[in-house]
Amino acid sequence: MSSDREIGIMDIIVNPMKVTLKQFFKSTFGKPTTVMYPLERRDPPPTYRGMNAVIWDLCIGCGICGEVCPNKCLKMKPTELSDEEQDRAWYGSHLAKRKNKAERPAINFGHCMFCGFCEDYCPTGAMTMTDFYELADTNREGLIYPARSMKVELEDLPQLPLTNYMMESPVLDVDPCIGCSKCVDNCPTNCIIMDEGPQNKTLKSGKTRNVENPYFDYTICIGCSTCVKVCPADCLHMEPISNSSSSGLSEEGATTEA
Amino acid sequence: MSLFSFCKAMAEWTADYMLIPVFNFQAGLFPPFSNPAGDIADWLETDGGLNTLAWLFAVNIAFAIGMTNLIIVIHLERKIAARIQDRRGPMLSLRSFRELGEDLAGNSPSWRFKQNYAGIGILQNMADGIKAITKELIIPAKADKFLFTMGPIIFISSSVFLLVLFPLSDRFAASSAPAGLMVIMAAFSIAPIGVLTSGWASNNKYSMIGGMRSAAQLMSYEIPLLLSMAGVFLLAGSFDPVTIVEQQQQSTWFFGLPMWNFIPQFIGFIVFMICILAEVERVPFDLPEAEAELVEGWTTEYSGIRYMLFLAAEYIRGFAGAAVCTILFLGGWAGPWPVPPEVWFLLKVYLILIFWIFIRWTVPRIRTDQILELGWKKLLPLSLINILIVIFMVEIYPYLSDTLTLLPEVF
Repeated sequence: MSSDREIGIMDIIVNPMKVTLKQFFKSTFGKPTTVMYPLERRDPPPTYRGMNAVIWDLCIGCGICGEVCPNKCLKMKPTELSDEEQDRAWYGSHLAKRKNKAERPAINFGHCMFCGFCEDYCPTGAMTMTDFYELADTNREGLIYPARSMKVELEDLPQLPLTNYMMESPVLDVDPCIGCSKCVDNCPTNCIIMDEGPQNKTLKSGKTRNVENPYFDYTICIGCSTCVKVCPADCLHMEPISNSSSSGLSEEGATTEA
Repeated sequence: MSLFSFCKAMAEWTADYMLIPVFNFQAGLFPPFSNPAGDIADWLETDGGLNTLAWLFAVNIAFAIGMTNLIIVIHLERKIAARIQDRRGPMLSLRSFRELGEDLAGNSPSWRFKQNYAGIGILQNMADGIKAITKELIIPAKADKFLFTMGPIIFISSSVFLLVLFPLSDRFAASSAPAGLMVIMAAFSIAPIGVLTSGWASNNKYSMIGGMRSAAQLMSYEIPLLLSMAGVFLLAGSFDPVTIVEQQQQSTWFFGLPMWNFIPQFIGFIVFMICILAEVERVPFDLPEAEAELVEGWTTEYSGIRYMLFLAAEYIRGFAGAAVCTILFLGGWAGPWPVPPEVWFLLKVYLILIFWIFIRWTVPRIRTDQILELGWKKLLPLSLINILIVIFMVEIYPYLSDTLTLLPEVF
């Protein structure tokens, strides 16, 4: 016992017993953390990477997802296959059948490590990762998902909540704005509409025109600053935001005053 | 009506109407040859035969009650441990099967306590038992096969033997030996021999360290344990559990409150609780099977039903230890009238067991040198102080009070 402080009876039994009793009563008369799994489930987080899904309407069959896959578990397979061909499709190469046939990704989930590279590199956003995680199967072949089974419609996928990680949002300088609506065309999340105004403007050429100004919906703005880059009149600039304004709780007219 | 007289009546009925006719029939089957069946029928009519049969019934009843309590203790341990760790513990029960069947058949469940299949989970014990029985019994290639099979027999038989030794009440006792508690402590002390045997015969370094630790532990806690019990024996003047409990029932405190032994002998009670924890090898004194240091201690090489019986025997020893503590210090089956004394006894035993479960999930395991230091330097002097207090109470204080009352007459 060469420690600084002599360990007494309080440290040995009394204080630990307080913690144990507190936890026991908390989980006995409250609710334990364990959920009854098959009957009640816990929602995975919004950015959870589960089973892949491919939006066939957006997929252009470029095969980049198969190129970037670290485990080589993703292959491009023809879409039109009979059931017998479907069973053998994973192991054979289909170079002979490739001509004039559309190809879509098929995934062997026995090798997949859910890194999400295919989703990141997809040029059209067709490859997505859902929150479906119950992939267990009784045999190894059951884990090979053919191309047809990965197909989803665009409407079936739930939209992710958009978060402004940049902590910046565009602010409009009303005087130089010419109402060209280029920002509306280029906004990736469609958070801008030409709704403010109309106001009378005197242009450089001397004419007076009644123009509408853009209105920003900050609840779905992701702070990408695309609108600032495309603005021809330099009337937009990025300003740091507080948390309250990103949550859509700011006042209506506050944005146009700046 | 005591348990033994009930068993005696049952034995008489069984002998008269079932056993003696059967043996007589067997004796009449082959008259030319010498047949022991007739002798057995004659023996069953005598007093000795009936007594033997009655003991058999009594021991079986005590064994069945002990095994039922064993299942409840294991289940309590698992559920409380789960709650302390913020889990739910075993949930499978027979009601779950019914609701599952109704759900699979497509019917909406007819009655639902909650919106899920959660039960108490008593069926998990059956599942564990079936699983352990169906597993293979592995004997290591270089193990000492005779001792490897003898170790479990010594440990488990000495533990199961404990079940019939303590009475649930003065009328519900399978055995009524005058030296009852001494026999119980003797049966407790056999088990480390089995532990040492198993650990040595497994031919495994972890098993052997576990067995040696068991022997080292025995040396440290056994003497303070028996010395702390000596105070109770001095007060009651007997080793018989019935006499000890009657003494506690009769002695009163302020306002006629019962003075159970843990009030005057509080030091002895503390020493006994620590030592009996070491005796039944529960945390924090589970040095022989320290699963963090030795793999599973002395049970590393055992599998199947042997391993399950080891675990069961440990819980039996825990139950018996709590029962001994109840008899010695907590007044045994003494309690207010409308509740039967057996229920009072089991209630106290379960309170002690729940306290032990809380201790198990609270404190860390202590080292071998620490338990030796604790046993010899702290618990032994404390138990001697306790004996001094008891001697003062029993021998000196009565004469002192007599002298004090006599003083005015002298002067």
